[in-house]
Formats: sequence, structure tokens, C-alpha cells
Amino acid sequence: MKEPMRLSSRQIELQDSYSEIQDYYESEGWSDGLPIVPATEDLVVKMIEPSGLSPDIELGVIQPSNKIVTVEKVAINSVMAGCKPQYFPVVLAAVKAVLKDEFNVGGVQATTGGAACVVVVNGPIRDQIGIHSDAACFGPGFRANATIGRAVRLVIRNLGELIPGVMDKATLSTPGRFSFCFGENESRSPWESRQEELGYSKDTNMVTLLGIRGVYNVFDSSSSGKLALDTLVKSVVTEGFANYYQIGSGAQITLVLSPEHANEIAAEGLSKNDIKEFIFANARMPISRLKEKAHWSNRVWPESIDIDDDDTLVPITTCAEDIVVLVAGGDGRHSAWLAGWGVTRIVSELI
Amino acid sequence: MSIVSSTFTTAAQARAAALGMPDVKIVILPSPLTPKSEQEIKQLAKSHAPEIADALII
Repeated sequence: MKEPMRLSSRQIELQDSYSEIQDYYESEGWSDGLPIVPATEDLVVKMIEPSGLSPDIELGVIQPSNKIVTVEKVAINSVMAGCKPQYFPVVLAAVKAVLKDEFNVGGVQATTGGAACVVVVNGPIRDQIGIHSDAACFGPGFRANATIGRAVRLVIRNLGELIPGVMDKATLSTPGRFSFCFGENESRSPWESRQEELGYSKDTNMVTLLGIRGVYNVFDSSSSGKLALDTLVKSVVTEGFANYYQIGSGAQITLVLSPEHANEIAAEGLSKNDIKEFIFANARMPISRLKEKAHWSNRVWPESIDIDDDDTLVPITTCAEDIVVLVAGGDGRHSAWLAGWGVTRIVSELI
Repeated sequence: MSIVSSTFTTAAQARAAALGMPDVKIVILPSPLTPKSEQEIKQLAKSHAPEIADALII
């Protein structure tokens, strides 16, 4: 007979009262401000069991709290976020990605920049569990998107102890910190998808984590894909875009193309790599426009940038490979930049 | 010891406690630092040097 799963987390007894339970979670600082699902023992066990994993498996250490993250702790936060058990493998993979040194969760979620933590999902699991990648996929309305993104943020908050005003010092923060998860719209993309770009088959399931400054939506109704791409690139050649000042510390950037823009650009013969090269060659700021304003005081420039030569053109990333191109969303003439931040790198993890 | 701008005072204290060093000496510089010129930053460093040196002595 199978042994019942043993959990090691502290157990708390509360009155069977909706308001008392919600008030308790809030008073302990374990909530993002929205009501949570009480993490009862049976729900936590049901979250873990289909994975076949032991609850005490350690996934790593999260910063800045320096705490060990276990399968059980991730499951508790997944229950609280409202996840179904079939979402749990995606949450686990996303948390493993968050724990990678190069993602630098302790930095990207603590700075005044207030970056959101975005979970992008690729592979057949999107359709199997209902991760939305078509119309309005950045927004509300899809349980898998909403609760997977929320679970990752609750892990960062509750295990990483990135509490607003204490370790989380964001000036404004962003609504994207409640939850931000979507799938790449692989069926409407004219190109290889993210996991294929990284050398895996289309059948491979993968999460990619982005620490982003914000969503910069760009509308373009040009009749040509190349003109649309030109509009997109020109929209980020501006002093307010922190990337230029942060290339020395590895700032990256992600462009999410709508299916219409993507297919029109592809019809004109451009691959994903061609787009990255186009962005790298054309999203450049004369250093004279960057001087003595915005984030000039960052003072971290790669050797290739001559700050004394006003004709120097600063690229938006240090190389074309630091630009990620995805296809997502539904019909319409809107694409979006997910602006990078100089203390984090984009990371991927197999599910 | 650690040096932070005042914006990050609570974060530095919480981080020190998380690392098991709640009594670590933290030198706090006035925020904001980013609008300051290189010269102003050097002056700030100079004015806080005695405090930093003191914090380095166990």
C-alpha cells in the first residue's frame, strides 16, 4: 500500500471562515493583495502527487532571503495562486528558471525599476493545459496564464521575501507583478518557436523567464512588414529606454510580434534572425542624446563604446543574440516590446 | 560591511538578517545617487570615508 505523502510545513488551525482565513494570510504578509486559496494539506498533496515528486526535493536557494525552495513550498504557493495540479510542472520549471544565478531574482525584483517577471511557455503543454497565446494573451481571462504567473510571483514574494517597501524597493512597480504568463503563438508563427531556436524539437515543453521594465505596445498599420518593423524599431530609439544605458551590464530586450505583423514580415523574406540583426543594426542612439540625462549615471559601458566621441552609436543590446523575438496575440496591428533591465538575463528551462 | 543608498536601507537590513548577519555594519549614503555627477559622487565617497573605514574595523 502506498504511503501517504508527508508534508513538513508548519500547520495552522483556523476557524472555517472565509474572512478569517483571508485576513490571516493578509496579516502574515503572504498575499499579493488578492484573496488566496487556502493551502490545506489535501490540496497541497493533490498539487504534488501527479508530478511523482517528493515534497522535500530542494530546487535551490532563492535570494535575497537565502531560503531553500522545495517542491512542497512551491506547491503551497501554487495552491494559494489557484493553480490546477496539471499546471504544477510549468510552475516548477518557471521557479527553477527564477533560481538561476543569471536571472538574478534578488536584484531584478528588488531594484527601484520594479520589473515584472514574465513566464513564456512553449510546446504542446500550452494546448494540453490551456495556456493562452492568442487574442488578449497578456491580459486576464485565462486560468492557466493567470494562476501560473501568480504562483511564480507568490514564490518570489513569500519565499524570496521580496516584500514591497522592505526588500522590494520598486518606485512604482507594475500590474505585471500580479501575474504575467502567456504562450508563444506557435500555430500562427511563420518561424521556428523559442524552444526550436534553442536546439530542441517542437514537441519540447519549455518556459522562458523575462525580467521586464514594462510593455511598450506599438500600433502599426503599414501595408508592408518591413515598414512595420521600421516603426517598431524607431519607437525604441529614445532616451527613456533604459536598455541603451545598461548594455554594459547585459541588458536584453524582447519583441513580441502579433501574428499579422509576423506573417507580413516573413512574407518579405525575413527570418527571426534577420529581424534580430535588423533591430541590432538600427535600434541605435547617438551617444550625444544619452549624455548627462536619463540613466547616464549608470556609468557601465562596454569597451566598444567611446563615450567621448559624440558620433558613437549605442546599440540597444551588445549583440543581436541578446534580442528575443516571439510571436503572440491575436488579430490586429499591435506588437509590443518587453523592455529589458540591466541586472537580469533571460533564462529558459525545460518543463 | 555594506554600503547602500538610503532608498535601500530596509532592504540591506533584511538581507543582512537573511544571511545571518543582523549586526553587520551598514553605511547609508543619501539618496538619490543617480543624478549626481562623477565629481559629486567622489566628494560623497570622501566625506563618508571615515565612516566606511570605521565599519571595516571589526
